[in-house]
Amino acid sequence: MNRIAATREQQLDRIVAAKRRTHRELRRPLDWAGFKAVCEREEVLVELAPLDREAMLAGYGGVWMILINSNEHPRRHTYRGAHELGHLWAHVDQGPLGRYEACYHMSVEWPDDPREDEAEFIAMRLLAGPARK
Amino acid sequence: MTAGASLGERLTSLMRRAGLKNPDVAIAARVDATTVSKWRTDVQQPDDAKLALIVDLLASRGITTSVRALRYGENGGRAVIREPGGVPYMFGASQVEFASTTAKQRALLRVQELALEFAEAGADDDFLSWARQFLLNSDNFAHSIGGAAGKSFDMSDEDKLQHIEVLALVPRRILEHRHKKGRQK
Repeated sequence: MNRIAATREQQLDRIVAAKRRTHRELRRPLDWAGFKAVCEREEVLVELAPLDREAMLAGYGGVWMILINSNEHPRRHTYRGAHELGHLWAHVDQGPLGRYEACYHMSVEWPDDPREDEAEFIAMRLLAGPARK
Repeated sequence: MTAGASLGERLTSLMRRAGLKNPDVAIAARVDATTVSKWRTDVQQPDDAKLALIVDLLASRGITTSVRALRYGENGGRAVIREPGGVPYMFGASQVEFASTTAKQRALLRVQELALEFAEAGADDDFLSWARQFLLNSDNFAHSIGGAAGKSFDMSDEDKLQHIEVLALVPRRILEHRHKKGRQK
């Protein structure tokens, strides 16, 4: 993972903390059932499909959908979904049009995009659960 | 040349060359000067819409760059293409290409069929326009492996045609959800 500025990490942690207040499933390490519950509450659609990549996030008219590669081992699905939630919360929700952005996804060149690191950061936070009891 | 290892460094370098201060960029990008400062120190990342405004401002000072060059450097990736006036993050550079004309025609025909399916399900013109672009967007047609640190490789024509069916899940489910929500109201 590339460097994320400490102040940006704090911002991302604040996003996660706010989401933990909304979603009780985030107050423990995130599992698949918890991920689905969070997505349902956020009105984010989730589908498993034989994708060409691990997962993708796309949306139209305020409705968002996370597609996860069904060919990957189910053990990884929660992680992939958490990563896409990271994009939604850190980049779409914080963007100029919020969830009314027409469509969002990273290009095939995404290793260069710092927002990938930020989504990974959020995914790690969600999978690990809160630092304190 | 848009030099610098990070977006903040590139922005700082170009602002210096153009003789621009934080408030100048802030006015052009319609943000606070403190936000510009955060961009320059990589504390925050401007979205592509803001970068496009900065590109325009730099152009007015005789410095030519692009959103892509600012975000990734001159030799950076081709991700998140956004020209001034477009919708940020909306789509990649272009429509997917096919090696054979036949495959391309099959793809266009299939997308038309899908658009008809969506129209029959009540989709409006805006939705259909978005769905067509989404289903044929070049960025949606590159295999990847290994996650954020992975590599990508090209898909065959046949894989691309099959992949359209997978991508169609997105507009199909979103349309269903919109209708469901509409019925609930």
